Amino acid sequence: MHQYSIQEIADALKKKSMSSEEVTRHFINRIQLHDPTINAVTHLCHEESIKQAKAIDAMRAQDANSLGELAGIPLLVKDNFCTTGMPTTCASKALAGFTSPYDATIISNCKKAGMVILGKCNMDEFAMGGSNENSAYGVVKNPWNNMRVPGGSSGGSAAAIAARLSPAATGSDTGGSIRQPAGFCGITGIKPSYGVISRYGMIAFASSLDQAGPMAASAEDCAILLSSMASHDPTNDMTSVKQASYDYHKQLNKHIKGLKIGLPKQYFSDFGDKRYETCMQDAINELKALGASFIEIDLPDVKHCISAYYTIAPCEASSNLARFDGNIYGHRCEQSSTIETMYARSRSQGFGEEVKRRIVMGTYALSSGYDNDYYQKAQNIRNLIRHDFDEAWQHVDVVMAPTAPSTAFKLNQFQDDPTKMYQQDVYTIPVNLAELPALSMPIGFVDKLPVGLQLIGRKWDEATILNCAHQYQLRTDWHRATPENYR
Amino acid sequence: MNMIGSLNSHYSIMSKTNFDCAHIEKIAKASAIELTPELKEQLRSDLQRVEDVLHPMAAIKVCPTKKTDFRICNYPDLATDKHVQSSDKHAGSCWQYYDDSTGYFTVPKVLNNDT
Repeated sequence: MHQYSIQEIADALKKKSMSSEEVTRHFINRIQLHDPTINAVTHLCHEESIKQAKAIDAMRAQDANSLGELAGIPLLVKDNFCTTGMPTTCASKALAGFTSPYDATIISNCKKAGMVILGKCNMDEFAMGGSNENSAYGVVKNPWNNMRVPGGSSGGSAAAIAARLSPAATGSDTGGSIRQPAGFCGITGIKPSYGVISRYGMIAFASSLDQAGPMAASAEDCAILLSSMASHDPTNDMTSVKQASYDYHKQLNKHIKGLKIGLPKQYFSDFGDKRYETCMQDAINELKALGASFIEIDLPDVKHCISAYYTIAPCEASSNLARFDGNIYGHRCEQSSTIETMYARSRSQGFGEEVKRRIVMGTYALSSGYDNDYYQKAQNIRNLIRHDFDEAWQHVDVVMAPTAPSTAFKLNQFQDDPTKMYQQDVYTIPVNLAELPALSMPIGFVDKLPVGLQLIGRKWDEATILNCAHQYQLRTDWHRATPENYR
Repeated sequence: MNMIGSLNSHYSIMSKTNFDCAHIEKIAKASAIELTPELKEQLRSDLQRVEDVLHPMAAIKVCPTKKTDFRICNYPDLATDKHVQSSDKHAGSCWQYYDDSTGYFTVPKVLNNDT
């Protein structure tokens, strides 16, 4: 059952060849069996999820037509989405014991569609990291190789999908946090355009970049999930946009003959590993066989993306995380002589090292005398990167890029120098800065580790990249590959 | 917590900062974070590396930023929730804004030679 796609599970539930309760129990058993090895799940809602599944089964028996497409499908939730009835901690001691009084909009949308929430997923603390090594719950391990990272920050979600502990998970992507772990774990994940899924109830890291999205085995599963997760949200009118259609699933199954795909020369110059390059070339050949054509394009300013991103994101994080002071919610230190000491001590005890580093970076860059040089300059560079993509859209429909410079790296490989870790985001960051949609899908293996490929689309054009990936996956089996110990 | 005074106003614009522990201490205080001596030294070294990553931005020439959309509200107006006409963000704005008619965020000119 755990190898079934979301569509296959949904069909089986509709035909009543299996019940939601059976599906839920199956995935709970898998989490209990396999999660101790990979540490992807931080909270399991055992009884509550079975209760939800039973309720769906009862509704199906009474009036099957009243149920949504996703009724009875299990879902794991990244721990930065507010969820009632279970902890929401952002994998931080600073939020230990916090339970949200409301659901994030993405969660209420999934609940409305009838999804059964299995629990919460591990992540890099406050979504800051690309390896899932910065978590108060401990490191997540890649199911393909336990000595490798799963990527981050949605590393728990990606590892859980790869190990088939759930058919679906939520992720969030500020600088690549859905796509990079999807690439490292051999699954499919889409970061929609900024504004497609409401940010309401997603704990803010960098508000102008944060975007929620689905993670699953295939592009078709992601399209089904995105159709339920996306909505216009009056509680987040500023960054949630009304769209003509939210049905991404219906827009699959179009041929891609004549689709023009751009290959940025900055992204396809030197991979170091010839085998990695061969995977990219094989994917290009498959898409060519489907009728797509390729041209080289120039994105001259993406080389500045790391500087711009690592200015903007820490500045916004420094501001957003000011609220975690031990006063209203979260961890509070035991002894302090003044309120200022209480704030500082609570924050120091609550936040991990990477979070402290980014807060300090942000405070420095925003401090008087520096803000124009850093934050404003970075915003202008962000505009240059947007211009580069706008120029590219004059010539192509989709831009292709590697998801990461390499396959999943070793645990602790970049612990000594954070800037080396930051460089790993070089292919994913421009998409966030330009607010575009992009997905990562598996296209092969190097040394038994998955290789991910990004498809980047025009703003609001999730449908084209999902369809392109779906057509590719109809011809290939990489998205069906499962790590040996989890089959 | 970011509304701090000038940390070191004599630094020239976008000149490279040489971080010392006293500098880190000031930034940490403004961030409401207490640092152990070990973490202070670690952050000093990290921030120096990060500065190396950020510094290339200085070489990129862009239009000067004019804060045309700022409207100063005084405290009594805010306290009494007095209606204040907002500025026309679309007229000569240098900030990006959301355009209802196109469904896109419109981005103003950035480069001096941009057309």
